[in-house]
Amino acid sequence: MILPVYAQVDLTNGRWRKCTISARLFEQYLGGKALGARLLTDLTPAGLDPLSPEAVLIVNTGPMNDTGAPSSSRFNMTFKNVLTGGIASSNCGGPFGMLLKKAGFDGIILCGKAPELSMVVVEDGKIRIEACPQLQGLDTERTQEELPERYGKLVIGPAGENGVRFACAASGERVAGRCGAGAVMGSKNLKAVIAFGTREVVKADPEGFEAHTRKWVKLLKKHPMTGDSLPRYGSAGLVSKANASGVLPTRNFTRGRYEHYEDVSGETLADTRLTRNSGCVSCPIRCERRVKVGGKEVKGPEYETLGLFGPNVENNDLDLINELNYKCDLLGMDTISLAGTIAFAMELQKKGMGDFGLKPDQPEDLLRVVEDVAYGRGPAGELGAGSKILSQKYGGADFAIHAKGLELASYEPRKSVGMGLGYATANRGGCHLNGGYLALLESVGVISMDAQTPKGKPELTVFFQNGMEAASAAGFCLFTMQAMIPGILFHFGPASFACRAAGKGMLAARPLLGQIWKVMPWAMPINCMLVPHSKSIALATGLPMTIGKFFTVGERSYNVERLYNLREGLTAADDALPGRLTKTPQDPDRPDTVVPLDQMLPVYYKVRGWDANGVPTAKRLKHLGIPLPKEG
Amino acid sequence: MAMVRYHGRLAELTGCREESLEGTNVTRVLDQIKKRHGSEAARLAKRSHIIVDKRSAGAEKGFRTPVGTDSMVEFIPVCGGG
Repeated sequence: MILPVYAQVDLTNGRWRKCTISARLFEQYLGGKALGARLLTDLTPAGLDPLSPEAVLIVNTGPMNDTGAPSSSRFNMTFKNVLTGGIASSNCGGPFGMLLKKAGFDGIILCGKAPELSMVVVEDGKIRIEACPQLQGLDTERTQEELPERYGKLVIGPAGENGVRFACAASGERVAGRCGAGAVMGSKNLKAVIAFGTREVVKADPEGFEAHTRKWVKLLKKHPMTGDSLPRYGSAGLVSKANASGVLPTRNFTRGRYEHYEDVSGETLADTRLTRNSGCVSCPIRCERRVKVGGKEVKGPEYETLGLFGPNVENNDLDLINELNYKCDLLGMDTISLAGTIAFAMELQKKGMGDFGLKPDQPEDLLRVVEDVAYGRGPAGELGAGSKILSQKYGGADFAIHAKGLELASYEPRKSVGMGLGYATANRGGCHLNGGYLALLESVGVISMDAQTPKGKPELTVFFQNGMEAASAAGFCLFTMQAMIPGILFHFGPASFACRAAGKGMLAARPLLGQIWKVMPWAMPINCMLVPHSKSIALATGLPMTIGKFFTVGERSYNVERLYNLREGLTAADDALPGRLTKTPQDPDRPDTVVPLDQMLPVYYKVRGWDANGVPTAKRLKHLGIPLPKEG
Repeated sequence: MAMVRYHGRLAELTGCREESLEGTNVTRVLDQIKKRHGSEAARLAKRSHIIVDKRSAGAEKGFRTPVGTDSMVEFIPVCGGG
């Protein structure tokens, strides 16, 4: 078995050293966000300022990167969350991860602060730090153009340099968007990390792996979701159904339907703006939209950006959303957090609780606002702190739409209550993916499930949170998990008996799903094409991976992240949503259109094996092989 | 007659975004689509999210969901993402 090799780099003095991850840690955590969480916990003391030189930033791959497995180019950034103070992981499909691996490293651990604006150069097993004052102030595109072409690049834009708390990092046109990775790089005077090498990944069973990959790619291409709808509409295709289900956030999450939703829908985007679809390296799905902005072909918006820079700020100008999306990428900012913060600030301003110079009746002014935020200019510059800090200063906590400090993604959870539970419990804050993404089952996907019932939602949330955590740890795109939904259901249609029975059946399986973690990984000692990920890992790495072990990696990771959050002062009280979503019904005549968190959280904790305060029990930690946290 | 709205490929296939169709429930509306636009359009419509008066037919009575004369029936493609 070939063990992952990491580099520890001290930016303050330029020293670095190689280290090898132990076989035990590799088997327990694989890589990506799971191993990142373990390493961050072990390498940092409690209470660090996430933007201090002592803070650690881990950029790592998973074992599947650069193997040629489908949709396996994702790399991860782990650090202390700039917005929540808890754990942060931010995932990206850009080419950097693959090139980092080719350069001889599975991950790089960065600490300290460079004396001047610098970049880390990783090349064929060696690392050096170079000053790069010439890159100061350049946007993410120009920065990458200025760097040598053959390298994989991870860079920040002006927002990261200026300490915007939701600044992102970019690789190609892809970004590690959430939690402030760009701000952490900026705080370290780190403009870029670039990597190049020629190392080939050695697979444990090359022939078996190739055969399995061929079978898996065929499955993905045949599946109605990954083979048809995602390439055709991208994630943008969700706008219409989200609107119909009442989960399209509108006017700062006051409503879930927008009268002009068709202007910004995935179908409109595909019919009128799409130049072609594209995708990440090694991905057969190719969900990326390509659109023109100012005559230039660029990456188009995802569903999240369409929803949050569209209905949620009352903007139905699709060209403007495309431009805002591009501008945010150039300046290096997360569109979810930025658009969410703007919507909150608009409401504060409307209520006379603050003046940020916003002009809600002139959507085109958003372009100016986005720049002001990136450069910290004028009254709008204050928005760079994010909605939690803004609400602490100006009030409005009930309608500051974040969880733990991270702005919610584009699913209004009052009509998708399991998604609400996911947002509240997600370790990195208000994230749909880290939250288990139950909106796909409850509101926007092919399965017809009761979206309002709290019953069964905690069990399903835990199941999908753990599954997606494991996929991320390995380096797979989460969209590969969506092919787990049997393709046959798409042929019957969501109104069919089969899809309705599937929804009911999943909820009825809650006693089983609630207990299964007690007998994992032994409950699933197999590999099969329903979850092809585990066999792919086994064939590539030689690890004795099964579906059970794969899901256990996810559960272990979720618990390590939780322990990190508890260590940093987050508690069960932070497993919360703003009052607007838990107290005010979306439909005034339907009292059940709130998120009943108080009903779901105790069950969720129980399923996780945590105590009533949301603290992992010693028994569960022992079961997962996680060392008990040190006292104090 | 119920008002029927098509999204995505179905709008391309039927050549219209909206039309009036008769039918007392979803199955009857699907029959009308087949009659007017052919089997492929009906197949695609059946596989879509079917929204009757802003409520998902999947969450109601499926293909037996009643459709009134003043109902709005929407056919939205099933998509994925995140």
